Amino acid sequence: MNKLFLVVFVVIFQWCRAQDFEAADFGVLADGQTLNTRSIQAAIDHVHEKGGGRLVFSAGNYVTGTIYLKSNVTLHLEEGASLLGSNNPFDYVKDPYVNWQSMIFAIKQQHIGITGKGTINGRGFQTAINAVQNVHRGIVEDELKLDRVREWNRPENIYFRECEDVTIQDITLRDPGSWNQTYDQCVNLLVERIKVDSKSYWNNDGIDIVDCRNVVIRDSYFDAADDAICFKSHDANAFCDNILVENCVARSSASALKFGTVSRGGFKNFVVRNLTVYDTYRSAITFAAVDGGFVENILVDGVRSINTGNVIFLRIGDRWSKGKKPYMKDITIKNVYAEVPLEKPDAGYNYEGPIEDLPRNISPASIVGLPQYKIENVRMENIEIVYPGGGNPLYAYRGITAADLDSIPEMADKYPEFSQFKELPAWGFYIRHAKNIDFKNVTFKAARKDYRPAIVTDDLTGGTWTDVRFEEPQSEEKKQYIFHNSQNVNVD
Amino acid sequence: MLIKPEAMKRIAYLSLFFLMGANVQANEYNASLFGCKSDGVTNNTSSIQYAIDFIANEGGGTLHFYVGRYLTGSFELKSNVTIELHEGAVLLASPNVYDYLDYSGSRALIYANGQSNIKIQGKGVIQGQVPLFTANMETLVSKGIMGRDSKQLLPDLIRMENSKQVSVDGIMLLNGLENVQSYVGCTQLTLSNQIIKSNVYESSTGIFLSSCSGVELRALYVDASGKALREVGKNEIRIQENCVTPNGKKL
Repeated sequence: MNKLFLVVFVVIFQWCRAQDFEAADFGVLADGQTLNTRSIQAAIDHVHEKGGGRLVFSAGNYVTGTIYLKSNVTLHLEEGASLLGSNNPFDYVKDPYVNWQSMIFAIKQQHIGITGKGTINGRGFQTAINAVQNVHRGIVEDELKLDRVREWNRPENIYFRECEDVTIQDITLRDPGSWNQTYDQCVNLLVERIKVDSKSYWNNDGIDIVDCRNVVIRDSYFDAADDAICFKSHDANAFCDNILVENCVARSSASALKFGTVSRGGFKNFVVRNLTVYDTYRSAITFAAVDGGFVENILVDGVRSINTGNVIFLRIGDRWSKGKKPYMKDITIKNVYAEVPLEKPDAGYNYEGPIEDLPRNISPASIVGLPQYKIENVRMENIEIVYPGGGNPLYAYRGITAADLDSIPEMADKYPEFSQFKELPAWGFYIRHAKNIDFKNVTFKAARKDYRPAIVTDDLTGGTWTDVRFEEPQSEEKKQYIFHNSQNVNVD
Repeated sequence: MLIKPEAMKRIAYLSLFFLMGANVQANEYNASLFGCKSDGVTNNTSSIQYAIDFIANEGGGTLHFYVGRYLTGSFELKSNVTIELHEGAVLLASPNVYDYLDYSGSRALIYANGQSNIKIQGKGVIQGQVPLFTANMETLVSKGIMGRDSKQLLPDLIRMENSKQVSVDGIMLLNGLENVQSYVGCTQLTLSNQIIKSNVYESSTGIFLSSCSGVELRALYVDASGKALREVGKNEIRIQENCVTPNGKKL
C-alpha cells in the first residue's frame, strides 16, 4: 500500500502548484441553455498549452456535449456549478479509439483531474430516449436490444483511457445516459469524497474501473441502477491490480461491489475495507471470472449489508474465454453482517432491477465454479447472515437427493447472477466445484422454517468449518448441511 | 430459359413463404416505437392504447415490452393483438383511481369486450400497487369526492368479457384488488403457467370465472388472500391440471 500513498502525494503536489483559469473568460456561459462544447474545449486546450492548471467553473449551469480533457488540466467545479449533458445525441462523439460515447473523454493523458463540490449531470434519460427515437426514424443504426440503444451508443459522464495520475475529488456525478464513469487501463487513480446518483436510465453504473493499476476509491457514496462499484477486465492481456476501496457506501438495483461481468484478464491484490451496502437488488459482493480471467488475492474486511437480496456470489464461468483458463483463488471475506429481505429490496427506486429467474424461493449465498475450474481457498470469518426463510416447496422445489443435486445446470456460458440457477437446494449457502472453503465463526439465521437445509456442498474438496451455527424455527432435528460428492471437509 | 411447371410451383410457394415471413416480421412492434418509457414513472396509457389500436388496424400482431417498468392506466385489448411481456418487463398499474375507465360498470387495467384471438404472454409481470391505490381511494371517499360504494370501482388487473380465443400464458400477476383477473362470457379461454401472488388486499380472488366455456387451466400457482378460483354461473372448465395453492390444494 506504500505505492498508494506515493500516488496520493504526487497527485496532491500536482494540484497545489496548478494555476487557475476561469471558464467564463473563454466565453463559457452558465445560462443552462447555450451549448458550450467548443468554448470549453478551447479553454482546455489553452490551459494545456500554457503548461496546465485548473479550469474553474463558478456556480451556474453549463450545457455541453463531448469534451476532451488534456494533460495537466483539472476541471474544477465549484459548489453550485453543474456541467449539464446536452440532450441532443448528436452532440456526443463516439470516440474511435474506445468505440464509446462520453461527455468528458481523456485518452492517453497525464496529471488530470475533476475536482470541486460541483456536479456533472448527464441528463441522460432524455438523451437516451432521443437516441431511441433517432433509431426509429431510421437515421441511426442500432439493434435496439431490449428496446434500448446499446450502451456504447449512449453517453457516459466520464471515460478516461490509458491515463496516468488521475484525481477525481469531491464532485457529484448524476444521471448518465449509459454507464457513468469509466477508467480504462489507467494508472494511479484517486477517487475520493465523490457522490454518485446514477439511476436515470438502463445500465447506469456507479463507477467502472477497467484494467487499472494503483487505484484508491474512498469515502464515497454510490447509488446506481446498475452495478455500484464495478471492476472489469476488457483486455485478456491486462488486469486490475493493487486496488484499495475503503469507507464507501453502495446502493444498487444490480450488485454493490462487483468484479465483471466482462472478465477477460483478471483482478488481483484488492483490499476492500468498511463497505456499507443497503437496498440492493442483487449481490453485496460478487466476483465473476466468466471470460477466461482470474481473481486472486482479495481481502474484503468489514461489510454491513442491509436489505440486500444476496450477500456473496462467487462464480467461474466459461462465456467468452476463447480457450483461456479462468481461476479464482485466495479470497478472504470477513467481518460481515448481512440481512436478506423477503420483499424486493430495491422497490421504489428508479430503474428497479428486473423480476426474473422465477419461480424461486430466497436464494442462498453461493460459490459456484465449473467441474474443470474449481474456486479455491476461500476463507470466510466472523460472518452473520439473517435470512427470511419460509421457502415453500410447492412454489419452487430443489431436493437434496443425488439426482436432484446433479440436475442443477452448470450454465457455464450464461450471464452470471446469483439467481441464475433458479431454485437452489439450500437457504444459507450453496457451494459447488470448489476446493478448500473455510468457515470460521459463521452464523446463519432463518426467520421462518425453510424446507431446505442451510448449506449444500457439491464437489467440494477440503475445508475447515469452525463455529458454524444455524438458527431456524422448528428445526432442532434438521440436518443443516449436506455434503454431496465432497471430501475432507472438517466440521468442528 | 424455360421454367418447368414443377419449379414454377416451388417458386410460387417459396415467394408465398417469404411474403408470409415478411408479414410476420412486420407484425412485431416494440413498445418504444410508440413512445413507451420503461422508467416506472411515465404514464404510458395513451401510447399503449394507440399501439394496440394501430396493430389491430394493421390486421393484428404483437406488442413487445422488454425489461423495465411500464406505468399505465386502463387500456383495451383488441382482436388479434398479443401483448408480450418479456422476462423483467412489468406492466405497473397506476395508483391513481382516475386512471381507470368505467367499462359498462366494471373497471380493469387491461380490458377486452367482444374481441377474439387475444393473448397476453411471456415471463413478465402485471403488478398492482394496492396500498397506494386503496389509500388514494380512501382519501377521496373521506373528502366526500367519491361515494362509499366506491368498492365497485376496484379495478381488476385483467378483465375480459364476451371474448373468444383468449389466452394469458406465463405471466406473473402481483397484488390485485378484489379480483386479480376476471373472465365473463368468454369461450376458448386458456390460463397457463401463471404465478399469482395477491395478498396485500384483504380478500383478493385469483381467478374469477362467470359463464365461460372451453376453459383450460394449466400450471397455475395461486397465492391469494381470498379464493384462488371463484366461479359464478355455469362455467365449463375443460381441463385443470397442475394448478396449486401454497397449501398444496387444488383451485
